[in-house]
Parts: sequence; structure tokens; C-alpha cells
Amino acid sequence: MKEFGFQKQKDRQTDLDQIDLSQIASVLQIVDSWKRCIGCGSCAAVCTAGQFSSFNPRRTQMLARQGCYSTLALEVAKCQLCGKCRLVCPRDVDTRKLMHELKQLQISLLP
Amino acid sequence: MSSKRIIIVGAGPAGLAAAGVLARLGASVTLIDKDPDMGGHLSKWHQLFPDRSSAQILLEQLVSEVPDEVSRIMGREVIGGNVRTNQVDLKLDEGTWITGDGLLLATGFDLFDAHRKEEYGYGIYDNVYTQAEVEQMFENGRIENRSGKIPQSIAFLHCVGSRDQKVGVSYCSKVCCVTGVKQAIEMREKLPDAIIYNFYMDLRMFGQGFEELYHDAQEKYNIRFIRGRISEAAENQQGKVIIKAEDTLTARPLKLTVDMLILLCGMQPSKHTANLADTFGFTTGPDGFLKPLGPSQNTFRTRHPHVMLAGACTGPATLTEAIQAGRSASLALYEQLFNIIN
Amino acid sequence: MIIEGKRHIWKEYQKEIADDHYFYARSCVRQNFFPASEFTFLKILKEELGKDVYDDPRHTTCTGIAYHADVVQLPTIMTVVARQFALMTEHGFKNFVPSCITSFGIYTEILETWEHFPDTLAQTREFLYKATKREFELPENLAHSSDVIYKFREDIWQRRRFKLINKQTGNPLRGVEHIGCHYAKMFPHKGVGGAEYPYVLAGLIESWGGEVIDYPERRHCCGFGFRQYLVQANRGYSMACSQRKFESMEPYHPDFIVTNCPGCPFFLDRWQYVISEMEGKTYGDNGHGIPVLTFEELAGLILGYDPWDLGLHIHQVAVEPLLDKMGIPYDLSKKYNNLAGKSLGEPKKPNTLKVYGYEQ
Repeated sequence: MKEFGFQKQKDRQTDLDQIDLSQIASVLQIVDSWKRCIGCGSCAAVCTAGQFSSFNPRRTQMLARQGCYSTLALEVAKCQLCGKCRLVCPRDVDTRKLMHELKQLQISLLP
Repeated sequence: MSSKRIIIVGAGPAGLAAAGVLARLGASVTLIDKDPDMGGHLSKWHQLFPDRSSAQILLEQLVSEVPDEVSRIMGREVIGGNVRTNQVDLKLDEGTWITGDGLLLATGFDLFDAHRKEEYGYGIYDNVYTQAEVEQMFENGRIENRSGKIPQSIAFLHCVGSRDQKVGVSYCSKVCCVTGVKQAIEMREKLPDAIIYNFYMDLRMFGQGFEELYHDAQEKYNIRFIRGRISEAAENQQGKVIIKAEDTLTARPLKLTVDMLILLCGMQPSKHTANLADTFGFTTGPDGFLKPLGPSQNTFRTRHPHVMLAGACTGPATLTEAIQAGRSASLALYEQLFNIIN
Repeated sequence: MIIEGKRHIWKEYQKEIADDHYFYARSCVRQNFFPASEFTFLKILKEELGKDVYDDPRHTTCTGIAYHADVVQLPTIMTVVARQFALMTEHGFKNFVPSCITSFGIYTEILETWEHFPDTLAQTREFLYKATKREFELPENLAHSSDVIYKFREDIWQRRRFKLINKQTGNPLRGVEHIGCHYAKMFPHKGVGGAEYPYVLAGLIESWGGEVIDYPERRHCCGFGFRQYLVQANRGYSMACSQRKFESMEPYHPDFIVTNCPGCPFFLDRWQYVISEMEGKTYGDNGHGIPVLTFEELAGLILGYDPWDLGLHIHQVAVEPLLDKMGIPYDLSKKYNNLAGKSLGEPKKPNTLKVYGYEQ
């Protein structure tokens, strides 16, 4: 094949028509308080792991709900399950349980 | 004590509430509306937020509070007139004049014309609607798109024609957010398996019961909320609408195909309000709504002691606020005209 | 689709287009990649329509690409533009017609800037005088060359030899119209039809018998982008944008794409080749790709000009399938000959994209 000197850029647009939510459907059933999350960021503000790494519980759960699992494994492994997020959630989402379930999910997604 | 005649322009919720109060207090009331029927926008609604009570029942109650003695002039427009020290004269479109001792303007709002947001293709693409059209669908009991299909995927877009410099509207229209949440819930009840998204910039759930409605929408009714404003809609070969938005909370652009795109349009000062302001030289604010003397305790007074304002002609208002304004303004007019206070 | 909704918008976005006495400013890119297009524009205006068009050999590039790539600064480009206007003034013309869409955007932007910030206009006059001793007047009318063809589309239709109709099926040919971003996205009221539903090219297709396709990614930029292609390593961005459009228009089976910008037809044409080499994917009929035309080439085909005189042989994507559909005769043996009839040599055959004129 000819060498053109460049590669095609990857499409960054999330196609909501194509996302596969079957993987998180089970998590949603176990932690159905997850449905009430409004993305306010209270959890991320106090997150222990978030102070010293790229982990962000708000962003992690948002991405999971959009079917973006590619960074899930790396990120959710950083959660220490300290529970500070659950203390401050105004919507009473059981964030600690959610992170725990997402950790189980990512283990099951490993090849 | 001789009676005084008070003319109320606008037979929507504010005007009807006012007519009822004034008539019971003993004033002679003339109620005018450019539409042949009473109720204004209320007559076109199905369920009201936050308690999802029936709009038609409320309308009937408001109408029943207006006694027969109230003189009704329906289907006529006020096109001119004067305000004098102790009198108002109004000219109607068929040439007659009516005179009163006091005037209450309750001329309400118009819905923002969604055609103006060209990027959404309202009036061009088949399946783009306003919340008013959807409310009609609920009233008729049948949800179907222009192709006669029952939709399987629906997107609501908040802030259409509000908070938007491109169309010259910088204010928030207040009630569209809770309307969007209410209609999403109503859609879910009609379409248990549909995918329903609400796209918003902020969710203004300011009133009693509003935040709870949002909470239930997420948890009980499985409505998906995405913080991001749709800024492009296009049509595919099946007549579905393809929308582009950003999920700002994950910072990624997204696309979605829906059977119906529903635009939550804002409130504009009604054309009639604008014309009357012009004719009578009433003050309007920079947003085009009629401007009362103050925002805290004089929300219905004008510089004329015998002319008052009530309802959405002064700015975006909930139904509750319009009815309360009609009643407050009535009491103030009554006090003024019947010399209860100096 | 509720077509009345579009017609309503098209009516709202109308603009003044002068009807004669044009000062023509050529385009750097178009002269190189679509040389016959500008020649055809001048031929149509002068010979078919009897218009007065002045083509000044002393005018320069407007430096639009350099300006958008941050190589040329605003005062510089204002002075260059002022010189173009000075040449226009010198020859007594008041109507300025650029060939390039980026140029059109530049001239519009600079005229608006001068109007709202008169001190910049005064400064430009000073700079131009110091550099060249020239003085200039502002044009009374600024219109892109596609606006001018749009204005005379009915006159062209009346002189037609061919229509945008498929001769085999009798159906209108399906055309994708692609407008350069700088035509209306910056100043919607300076474009016929505005920015969301532009009409300048759709009007040509409609008047000449074709059917206009509206597909979901119609408004998407072709990805030309200046920095996105000037640096070789960045061209993948440009290609990805064009591919997004191809994927979106493919289900509508367009017979051709027509554009009014220099960069757009270049990329929409060339990227189909690169995509076919990189991914083995082709669009359009039978692996031939979707032919991409400039609006002058389309007008020339309607008027019956020889396809090779229109420069269609330098297109990457084969135009012959479209010519066959329209019933336009062409001589493949003359395809790669110069004006004197000597062969220029054949280009190398692409691996995947099918082309005409090669021995199998």
C-alpha cells in the first residue's frame, strides 16, 4: 500500500445509536440508585484517589453510562473504596457500592 | 357607593382570576380577548406541573368563577386608546370604543417561534416539534410522528429561544425545564419501551415539587438526562432526526437518532402585548415584557394608579404566579378605585 | 422534508448580486487544480452572456490561506486586499467577483472590519500608499463567482445542450451540493440561502433539471482546514472529515457532488482515492467513486462544452459515469492530450478506484 505520510484521525464522536449498554444493565439493576445521579461532582471533590491520580468517580460513572468502557478498567482500579463519596452524595446514590460493582464488571470484561 | 367599571384585556388565567375577584368585590367588569374562547394557552394544555392535574378542569374552575354579570367581548382586539387621569378609553378592531374607570392588562405571552432556530429544522424536517404540539398529542391521547409511526426514541431539547443571544433573548423562560421533565414522564407512560433523552444546559427545578419530579423522572421513569445543548438536527432517509450534542460531563461530542425531536420553546412577550405597549406608551423592559414599578412589592403596578398588569405579559410566569398576580392586581385596583385607601 | 420550509428560508436570505461589469479575482488553488474552471467562467460570462468582465494579470493572491494559517498578519492582508481594490478602481470597475470562497470570506470580513473600525481603513490606505503609491475605492458590490452563475442560471438553462437528467431512466440526476465554509458560515446574510440551508448551488441543480440531496452531514466541513492539510502529518484529520460526509451521503446514491470552493472539490475528489488505497472502500457506482465538480464545470457540461476542455481529465474520481448518464459524448483517446494534440502521458492507475481510459 502507498505510504501517505499520515493516518486517518479516529472518530471521537460517541454514537449513542451504537452503544452497548448490556454490560452495565446488570450493574444498574444492583445499584439502582445510580439512576438518580445528576453529575454534580460532590463525589469527585472529596475522592481520596482523585486527589493524587486521574481517577474521577463522576467521570468514570458517566463514561460507563455512555457505554465507554475503554478506560474503565484502568480507572476504577484506583478507587480505594474509602466511602467518602457516599457520605456527600446529595442524591443518595450508593457510590461506594457502584464503584465496587464496576470493579467486578471490569474484571469480568478482561480478556 | 356607585360601581366602577374595570376593563380586563386578556381572558387567560390571570385575566379570568382577576375577573372573578373583581366581580365578587362588586365592580362592573368587562373582559376582552382576541380569541373567541377563554383560557389563553391554558386551554391548550393537558396536564399541569407539578402535580399533573388536569388543565381543562382548572380552566373550567377559573371560568366558573366569572359570574354572568361580567360583560364578555370575545374575538376582538384592542387596537388603540387613551389613558386619562380617571378614565381609560379603548378602541376595538371593529371600530367601537369602550370606557372604564380602571384597566388590567393580562395579555400574556407567545411561544418562541421555533422556525427562527434554523439549525433545528423546525418546519423543514418532518419530525421536529414544539412542546405545545406535544401537549396537543397528549390531549388527543395519541402519540405518533408525521409518518404515522409510534416513536421509539425521543429527545427533548431545553432552552430553545431562551438564554440565547443569537435570537436576542437573554432571559430564562423559567417554566420550560419542568415542562420538559413533565412531558418526558408523560411520554414514558404512553411509551413504556421508548428511549427518552432530555438535553439541557441547566435544569431549573425551582418550584415546589419540581426537583422531586426530576428525581422520579430519572429513577422511576428511566429518563436519560444529558447535560449538553443540541446544536444541529438533520433528517435521514427514514424521516428520523439525527441530532448532535455534547455530553459536557464526559467532554465528548455525541450523535443520536430519534423518531421525534421536541423543542422546549421559551416565552416571548405576546405580539398583542407589544402592540398595546406601543399604543399606550407603557414601559417595557429590555426583554420586551411590560415593566411594572418594581420587582418585589409592586409587581403589578404601573405609573397610572388605575392601570395594572398581571401574568405573563410582565415576564415568564408559572400558572400559579399568573393566577396569584391576577388576584393581587384585582385587589389593588379595587382599593384604588373604590377609595378604600387614600 | 417540508420543502416549503426551506423555500421560506431561501427567500429570507437573498443578496444583491451585480448584473454586469465585474472585476474578476482569480484563485491560487483553483488555477492549479481546476484551471479550466476559471477559463469556463470567463467564457460563459463573456461569450454566452455578453458581460463585461475584467481579468487583471497584475492582481495577486489575496493571501487568505496564509492568513488563516497565521503566517500573514491582519494589517498585511488588508493591504494586499486594498491593492486588489486599487486595481479594480484603476480600471473603473465597482463590482468585485472573487473566484475563491476563502477569498470571498476574506473580502467580506475585511470590508466589514473597515466599516466597523474606520481607523483600520485609514491605516490600510496609508500602508498601501506608502508601499505602492496606489489609492482605492471600496467595491459597491461583492459577490462570489458562484453567486453570479446563480444569478444567470436560467439564462444558462436556456442555452443548454444537456440536462441534469439520467438519459437511461429519465429521472433527475441526484446532486449533493457542498458549500465552502467561508461562503456563509461567517456572515450568513452574505450568502444566498444563509448558512444552514444555502441555496446558491442547490438553485443551480434545481434550475438545470437535477434533484438536490439533503443528507445528515450536509453541513459538515470537508476538512480542508489550512493547518489540517498544510502539514502532511495532519492530513488524516482532513480526510476523516471528508469520509464522514461520504459515509453519510452514500445511502442516497448521489450521481455527483458540486462545490463552489477551491479546497472542497480538491479534497472531496482526492480523499476518495486515498480512502480507497488505505481502506479499500469506494463510494458511488461500481467502485468508480462519486464524481466531484466545480460549479463552472457543471455549467460547462450543461452548455455542451467538451469535457476535456473543462479539465475533467485531471479529476481523480472518474467523471465518465456522469457523462454517460447525461448522454454527453467524449473521446477517451483524446483525454490526456494537450491542446496541440500531443499525449501528456497517462497517470498511474489506482489500485482500487476504478477509472476509465486504461487498457485492461
